[in-house]
This record gives sequence, C-alpha cells and structure tokens, in this order.
Amino acid sequence: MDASSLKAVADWMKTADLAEVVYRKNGAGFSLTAHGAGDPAVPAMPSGRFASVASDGVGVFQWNAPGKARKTEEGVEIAAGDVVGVIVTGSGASRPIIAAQAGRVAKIFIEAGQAVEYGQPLLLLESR
Amino acid sequence: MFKKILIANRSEIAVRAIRAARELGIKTVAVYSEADRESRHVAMADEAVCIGPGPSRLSYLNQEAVLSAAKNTGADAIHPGYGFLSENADFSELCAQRGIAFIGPPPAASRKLGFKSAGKAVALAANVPVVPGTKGDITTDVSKEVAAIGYPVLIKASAGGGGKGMRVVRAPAELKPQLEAAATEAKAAFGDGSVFIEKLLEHPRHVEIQIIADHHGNVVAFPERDCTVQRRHQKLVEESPSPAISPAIRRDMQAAAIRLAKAANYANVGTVEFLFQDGKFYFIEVNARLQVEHPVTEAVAGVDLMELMIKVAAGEKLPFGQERACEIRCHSIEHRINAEDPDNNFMPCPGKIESLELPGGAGVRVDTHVYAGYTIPSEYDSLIAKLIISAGDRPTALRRSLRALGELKIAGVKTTAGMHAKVVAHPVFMSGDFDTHFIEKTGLLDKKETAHV
Repeated sequence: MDASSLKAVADWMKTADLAEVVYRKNGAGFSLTAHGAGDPAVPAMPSGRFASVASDGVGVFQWNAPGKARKTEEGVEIAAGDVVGVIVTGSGASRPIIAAQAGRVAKIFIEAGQAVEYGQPLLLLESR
Repeated sequence: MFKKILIANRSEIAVRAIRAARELGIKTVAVYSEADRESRHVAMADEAVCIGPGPSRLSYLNQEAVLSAAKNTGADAIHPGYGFLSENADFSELCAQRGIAFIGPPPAASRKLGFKSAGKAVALAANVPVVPGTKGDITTDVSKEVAAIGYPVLIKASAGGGGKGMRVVRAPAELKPQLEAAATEAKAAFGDGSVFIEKLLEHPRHVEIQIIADHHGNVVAFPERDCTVQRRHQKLVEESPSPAISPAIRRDMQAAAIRLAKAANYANVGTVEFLFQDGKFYFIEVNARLQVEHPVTEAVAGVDLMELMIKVAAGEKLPFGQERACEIRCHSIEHRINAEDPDNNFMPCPGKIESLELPGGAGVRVDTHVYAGYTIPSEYDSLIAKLIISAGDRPTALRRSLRALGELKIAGVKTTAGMHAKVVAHPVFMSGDFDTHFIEKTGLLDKKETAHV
C-alpha cells in the first residue's frame, strides 16, 4: 500500500469518527490511531495539561460535607483521590466527587448550591 | 393542573408527551443519557437534564437521577412514557413520597394487575374469563394440574413480556425440563424466576381493550385494538376495530375490562389484553401504562389519550362516559417502523439517517423523534417511527397504508417499512381472517431465493 491510499484511509477515519483502524492481509498491513477525535473521554481542551473534573450524578453541588471546611480553591494543589466537593441528590443523600488525578485547581466553574447534571464540568485541574 | 412535567423517557413517546403538555400550557423537562444528546426530545423540551451515560440502567432506569432532575427543575409531575420506569410501582411510590405526581396508575393498582399471575387472580374474582391454567406461580409438582388443563400448554414468566421465558410443552415428559429452562431464562431476563402455566390456544387473535379511569370512580373502555400480526411475540401491525370482533363481543370485552379496572381500583390509562379464539375471549394481562399502539385508539375514538392521562393524574374527572368512548369513527392501522435489517434476521441497524422523507396527506399521522442527520444510538430499542393511518373503512385504510409506506424514504439505515407493505398487501391480511401465527404461516418473512430471469 502506498502513501496516497493511506491518506484516503486517514481522511475516511476522520469522517467516520473512528479511534483506530487496523488492516491486515497476507501478513502485511497497517494500523492508524486517531488523536483526540472520536474519543469522548478527551475534552476539547489544550492537549494533556488540563483535566476536567465532572459531576457523576444529578443533584445540588456543595463544596463540603456538613461541618467540614472547604478545601477546593483556585490555585490549591489537589492529590489524586481527594474529595473536591459533594453532590446532594433529591433524597438528601450526598456523595463525594473525587479527583481522579493530582493537579492544581486552575479554574472553578461551579458555585455551592448550584443544580448540576451528569457530566457537567465542575473544575479544571492543571497537572505539573 | 400541573405547572411542569418531567418526561422520564426518550424517543417518539417523549416527543408525544412534550407535545401534549405544550398544548395544555404545561412546561416540560426532558431527561437524556449521554447517547441521546442529539435526540429531538432534548431540543423540544423547555429544559433538559443529562441524567447519566448511555446504558439505560445508569440513566433512564436510574430512579434517583430522574427524581433529582425533577427536584432541580421544580417539576411537579413525571410522565414515564412506556418501558423504562413506566410500570415500576416502587418508582411511582417514590414519586409520591417526594411530592411529585406520577402520570400513570397508582402503585397499588399496578401491583394488583401488573404481575401476570396476580392480574389473573383479580380477573377471576371479577368474573372476567381467563385462559385455563395453574392458580399461581409454580412452587410444587403441577403435573396433575397440567394434565387436567390439557396439553399443549404454555409456560410463561410472571414478571415477563416480549416472549422471554415462554416455552411450549406438548407432552407430559417435557414438562419438568421445560419448567426448569423457563425459570432460568426468566431469572436471567427479569431477575425473577417465577413462572406459571396456561393452556396453549393454537390459533388465537390478540385483541386488547384500552381503558382510562379517573380518581372519581369513572372508567371507560374504548373500541378494541387487534394486534394479531406479531413476530416472535412482538407486535408488528395494530389495527382498530378488529376485523374479527362483532359488536356483541366488543361490548362484552369492554364490560369485562371495566369490571377488572373497578375491581383493582385502577386509575389512569391501561390496556387489558385478551386472546380471542372461536368466538371466546380470554384475559391474559394488563399493561399498566400508555402503550406504543395508543394512537390507533386515538384515531378510531377521536380522543387524545396522552392529554386525558395528564388531566386524570391531575385529579380531573373524565370528560365523557362509555357511550362516547365506544364510538367507532374510522378504521385505523399503526405500522411500527424499526431500524432493523429484514434480510438479516431483523438485527438492529443503528447508524446515521442520511436523508429522510416522511409521508403525509389525509389520514396519515407520523410519530417520530428522528430527523435527517440524526444518528440512531445502539443502546436502545430500534423503533424509529410510527405511521398511524386512518380512513373510513378497512379496505381504504389498507390502500392508504400502502400509499404512505411508499412515500416513506429513509437513507442510511435499513428499516422494516418494506415488510409492513408486504403484510398489508398480503391476501390473507386483506381478508381479515388470520391468527397470531400469520407471519409463520404465510412465510412472509422467509428469505426468498434470489432468482434472476
């Protein structure tokens, strides 16, 4: 296979929203991997440096469980596994929002008491 | 009346509910999964809340997410549509606890009638004829009881639907192994392995009666829907009135359905399903929800069931009595258009709809959530549109069906539209004389050898 046919495959990949194409015939072949496009887990952000922490449920956002102090502020360093906030659901139960990775809080999109939906970005972490 | 209704569903039924609410001047909230971001119901509603990822159990079946979305948006009622949470009595109870009206039957009534074997007990008490069978879920040796009923018999899942967990037993020796197999299948499909046995009717029609009851003790029953044309126990074509039901039988069926509803203190919409064979009808189950095929009754009786169920849930009285409800104003047929490949064993065929032309004109209603450029997600049911045809009489309705099916043009995905045309044009279907084995007996969907002349 020559480069021009590979380009045709690569162009088609973009339109088909595919993340990876592997082709094998008689022991030879190629593998193409698209970057960014087609992977819903990757937000449309400058590559790599920022990670969004999103709500994993529907409810009302609070910074902390009752009686605990707010830790999450812009500029603060967060460790992987830290609780950055809580979601209070309609039943009154609250569940923690946990940072999947470490980073500095670069931007906060949310206020205490705000209604949130599934997948809503709450804050951005900047990794070092 | 309600101020704001949250629609806990997707697809054409969510669109249908939003339209009815808007006509009543009620605000709407759509909920959607990540896979349904581009769905029409999301764009149509006044507000929309994402409640979870694609899989239904994490989104449309997530009761806490739905209720939290209702609380966040200030919705005072929830319309469950069909499927998902529509027949979940625990959910409707939870709605009541949170002070949100559930637009559907009260939990006690759906518990009484929702489970097939429980519904049968209520039917027996209300003097509604039932298919002979075991008294309840099978827990002990029933070989003598089954012998008295007479083979062949049918094993059914108590929590079932859609043909899952069903087994035919033709001889005593097959009984025990088939019972075990059915229980395993039911457990896997519904999380409940309870099964029961009924006499197998060999050439029945499937005929059902739509009812609606208000909270003031009034119940009415509409003209029957005939859903005899099925494939693997899934309804394909529904029509009303049935070509096989006489006015006398119709009155008896309606009276039986009303007795059953009153016996269960039923409220809101429901469908009482019967099998009909050799001039007799037998109760099989109640669907405690608005059904896919409800527009057929809306056309024939000239009513708006969606609007009525919202009003009844809000405490209003039914605006008419039985005399008005049983009027037959036209003949109506519904075609369920699914994104499935008829040439490949009806495999679901999700994908992007490249272009779309919908039929129209006199007597043609199309209920759909799809549009050109829409991508059908693979997570859900493959129903993409319903064609509801109405005309003065059955022959005219059939001709109109063929005309409308011919106008429907969908590019990009395969659909069952062509199969509907084959059914409507079939001489046996035209004659009106057929049973639930119509598809198998006519060989209509069998693969043809490709002949080149």
